Amino acid sequence: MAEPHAETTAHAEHEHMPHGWRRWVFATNHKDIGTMYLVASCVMFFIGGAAAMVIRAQLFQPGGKLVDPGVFNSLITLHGLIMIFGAIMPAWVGLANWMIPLQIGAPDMALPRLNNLSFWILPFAFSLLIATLFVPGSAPAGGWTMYPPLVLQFGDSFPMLIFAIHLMGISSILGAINVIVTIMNLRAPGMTLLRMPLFVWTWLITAFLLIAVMPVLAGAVTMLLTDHFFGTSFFNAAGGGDPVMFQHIFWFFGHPEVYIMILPAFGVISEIIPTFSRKPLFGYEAMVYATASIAFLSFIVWAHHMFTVGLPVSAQLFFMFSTMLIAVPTGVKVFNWAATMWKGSLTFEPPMLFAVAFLFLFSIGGFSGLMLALVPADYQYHGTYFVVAHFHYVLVSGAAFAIMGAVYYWLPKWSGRMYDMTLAKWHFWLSAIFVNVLFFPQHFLGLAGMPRRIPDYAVQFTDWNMVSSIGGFAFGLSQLLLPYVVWKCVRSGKRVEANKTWDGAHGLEWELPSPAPFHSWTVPPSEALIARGAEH
Amino acid sequence: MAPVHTMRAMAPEQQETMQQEDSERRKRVRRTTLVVTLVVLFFYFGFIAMMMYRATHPHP
Ligand code: HEM
Ligand SMILES: [Cu+2]
Repeated sequence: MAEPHAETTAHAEHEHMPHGWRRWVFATNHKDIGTMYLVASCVMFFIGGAAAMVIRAQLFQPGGKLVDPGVFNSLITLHGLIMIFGAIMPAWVGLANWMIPLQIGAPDMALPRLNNLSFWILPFAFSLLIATLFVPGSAPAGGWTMYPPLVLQFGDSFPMLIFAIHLMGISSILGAINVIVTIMNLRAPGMTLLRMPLFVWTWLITAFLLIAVMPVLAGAVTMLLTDHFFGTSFFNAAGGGDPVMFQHIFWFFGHPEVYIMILPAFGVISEIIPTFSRKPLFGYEAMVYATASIAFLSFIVWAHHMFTVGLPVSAQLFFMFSTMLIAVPTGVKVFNWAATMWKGSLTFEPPMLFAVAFLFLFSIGGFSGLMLALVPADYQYHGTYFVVAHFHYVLVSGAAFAIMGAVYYWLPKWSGRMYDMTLAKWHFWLSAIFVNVLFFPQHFLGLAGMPRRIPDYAVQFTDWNMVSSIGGFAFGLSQLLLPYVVWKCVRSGKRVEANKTWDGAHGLEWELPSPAPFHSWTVPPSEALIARGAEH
Repeated sequence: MAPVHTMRAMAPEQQETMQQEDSERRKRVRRTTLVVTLVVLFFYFGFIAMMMYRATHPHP
């Protein structure tokens, strides 16, 4: 047993924290900033979700007249951008802010004022993006991938789109810099790299991916901007440019970006499964190396998004094989999680439910990804609903489920209160059932040839579209439970007394009182405490 | 970046080493930030430069 430690005994009394609006506008505390990120992410999740509800209503039956086709295309575009940059990424940054300092024994993030800036950029970025719906002409409607020449045809909304992307990019880059600097320099003495919890590890690797690829996206959209306004021809064939080049640059960013959204999820799952299996994580080091190899490979697979643009066969083969290689480290992870559960004393509280659903459903997304990686097969699947089904399995039942699992896992630590388990389980089961009703039929639609990003379709696709829409409405409605459960918990949940909410949990965050005090680890944790937390 | 209120709990000689460690750590934080920022700028301008090179040296 570790000796008693000033920090780990309840001492919430002398908290000096700012009050009122200043606490939030001038926030530099990692917990406050984390909370703001999570709240903002939730808001964007529902705005993006509202767009999705309109999309599914329009596609409920052929000949839908709910919105006009141009608006439909804008909704598709904004849904993608909002969910990726507004919902998933800020949720991960919020969790990083909350948990990394707690898990490495640091008093805060290394660059607290920069942290404030990276958060407060976001409301401006998204106001600008959403405002494109209200300017003359059309909002951006060329898809989240912003391919030229199509994207260059939108009027006043175009520079707003580019500026919004730049702002989001800057925000993500600043966030990533902060994570890297914090983990490299602020670990408590004794918290060696290979003692760090996997959430910290996966975030560190994610931050390096961000550093490498967000500037590339920024460069790409800067070139779009100069093509539009300053007469350059980077992507303009008439001026000697090459529109396919945009696709190469975009996907050099875009593929690592999808891993940016999933690696922290791997971290969260690696925290939750050992806790509720009451066993150490199977193959901790292998998990670290697998994550690093996935990150490395993610840089050499980008053209699997471009198999049909007319690449040379040698390039198609290279990108097909490099893509299939990712299955190896991914398999290592999935088998390690399964091995962790093997013969464990399992219980299924809400975080574990989400983690187990993640295992199954993310794997389905991985398998459809493997199908898409086969060049000849992708000639048929590309541009169809099969792709839509693939990435929603990995992003919704993958990344989003992991985020929800993380919230249910750490909420008692954040708030000092327990949430309504029954309601949380309802939230889980409704989500897990309807996410499949929503997205599984989209595989069939895609294989039958229904194109993605269209406001209307041929009659033979009607039945599965109806099923998918019903699943969509039910999934969307069930999500209202999440903020309700959190709200109710924070307002009136039963107080948790123990530092450790879950008996099988390990890690420094569980050595702190609940709620975690406003200032934590102002005195670094002792070696003994660190060693106890790192019993992976 | 140990905040001020950490110090209050400590003996004076402890505070001194703490402050030394603190300035050492500040230096490391600044250096890491600088290096990472340079990487960012390198990727941003590097990709634009690559495109400009390609535009002026077309493939056959
Ligand atoms: C298991 C490994 C994976 C493989 C082999 C894989 C493979 C692919 C391929 C080949 C495509 C292109 C399909 C096409 O357009 O014809 C694709 C699209 C996509 N994948 Fe994956 N994928 C994998 C995992 C993931 C993960 C983990 C995510 C995100 C968390 C993801 C997100 C996406 C997205 C968003 C698209 C569509 C982009 C777009 O065109 O809008 N994939 N995937
Ligand atoms: Cu990809």
